[in-house]
Amino acid sequence: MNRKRIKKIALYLAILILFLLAFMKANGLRFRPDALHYACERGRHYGPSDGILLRYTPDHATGRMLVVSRCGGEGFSYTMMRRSYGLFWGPAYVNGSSGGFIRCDASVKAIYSYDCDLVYGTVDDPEAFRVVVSFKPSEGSGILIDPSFDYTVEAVPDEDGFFLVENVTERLGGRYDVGAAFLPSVSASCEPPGTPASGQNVKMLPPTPYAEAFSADGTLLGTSRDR
Amino acid sequence: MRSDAWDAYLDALTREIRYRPDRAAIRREYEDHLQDAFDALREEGRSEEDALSNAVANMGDPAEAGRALNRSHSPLLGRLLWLMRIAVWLIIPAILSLVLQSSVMLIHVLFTASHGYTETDAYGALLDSVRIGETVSLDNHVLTFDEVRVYENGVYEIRYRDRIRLFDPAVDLSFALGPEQISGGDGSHPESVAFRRSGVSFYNVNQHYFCGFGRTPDRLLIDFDRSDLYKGRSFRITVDLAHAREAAVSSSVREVDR
Repeated sequence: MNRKRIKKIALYLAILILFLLAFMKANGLRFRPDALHYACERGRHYGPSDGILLRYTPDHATGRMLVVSRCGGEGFSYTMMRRSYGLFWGPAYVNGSSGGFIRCDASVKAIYSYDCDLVYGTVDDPEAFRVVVSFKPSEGSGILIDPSFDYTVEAVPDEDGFFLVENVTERLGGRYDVGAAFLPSVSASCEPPGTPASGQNVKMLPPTPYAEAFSADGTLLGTSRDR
Repeated sequence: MRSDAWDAYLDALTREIRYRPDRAAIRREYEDHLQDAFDALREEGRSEEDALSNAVANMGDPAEAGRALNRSHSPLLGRLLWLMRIAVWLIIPAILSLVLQSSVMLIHVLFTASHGYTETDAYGALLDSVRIGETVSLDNHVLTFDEVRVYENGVYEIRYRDRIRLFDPAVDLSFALGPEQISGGDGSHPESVAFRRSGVSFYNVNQHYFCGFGRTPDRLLIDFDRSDLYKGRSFRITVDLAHAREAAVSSSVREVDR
């Protein structure tokens, strides 16, 4: 009887595993966020990127996660994902895209994420002690600037040069929509290669805020526009 | 035929079996054995009472038989099988839905494959048609470039099929040629006019219309290059348009000669 039952269990298990694989395949799901990030990169025809820099779950959306990795010295690869059926991770599509490659080759790379309201980036110089990110609206954005208000936030890079500023809008006192302020600079600074000017592949990419890195004695080491 | 001794035997036997859902089936089986033994003894000419007591006695020690049965009816395996059965029954609607979805997609693919490309006269008469017949692999995509067509209004059309390899680990499944991946012999890029796609996610027939080269191109380059983003994701296809035009001209001359 036991042997008969073991055979039946094996058969049912095979059916369940096959179904699970087909279901995951059909819905683009993975068990781990990193695996999904690399699978998305492959689907976008680049990668795998070097290493995961950030796995971030925003406070306002606990079922979501932003995964960011470094693509050599050329920029970042990011994927926005969501919890699916409580067990898997699936891509979260915003404007038809779940992520992409952001080319940033300055010595200080800083990216603003709308979905998570945070700034992340890297500093190449190992001497960098602090990074000042400026959110002053660009010329022609139509947003009024309050001369008495400090539009900067500071971050401390870790030993790998990675830095992060969370809840940017809140830190700026909710003065204005940070994303809107930077929209004019989107296409100029963050255009991935091979993205067509029009059509279905156009992706809304995060803007690049202006960032400066300083050493411990206050010397300017580099900016996000220095190359 | 039932008796107290008979019931007592079966109770003692099944009490030893820890996995309760199996008890009823085992009881029924042993009841049949007892009935067979009882009938055989009756046929031998034994009295009813004698046949009953002998049938039970011949079955041996019920506790010992029950313990032997218990060993071959593991509660763990029994419960696991029960859970598996429930899980399989629960996913049957989902399996049916997947099968239905796949069938619809398969029908769609067959329909797309049989109908192929859509003809259009929106860009004037067809002037030229060049067969490409090249297949390239790009991650989970198998792209087959079939044909370039040239229309009267200066519109070029690239026809290609895009098949997605099943069970490939990639998730985002987009591939579309952009104007910056297409160029004429002089390096000028066209403007995209229209894009037509028919099919389903894993099999698409694509028609890309574009115009606006600097001059009439002698050759067409389809140059997809993401090799700067690791692992040499690139391919390049060159289509000789001049040769095709000459061939088209000479064939029309031959037509006239005839």
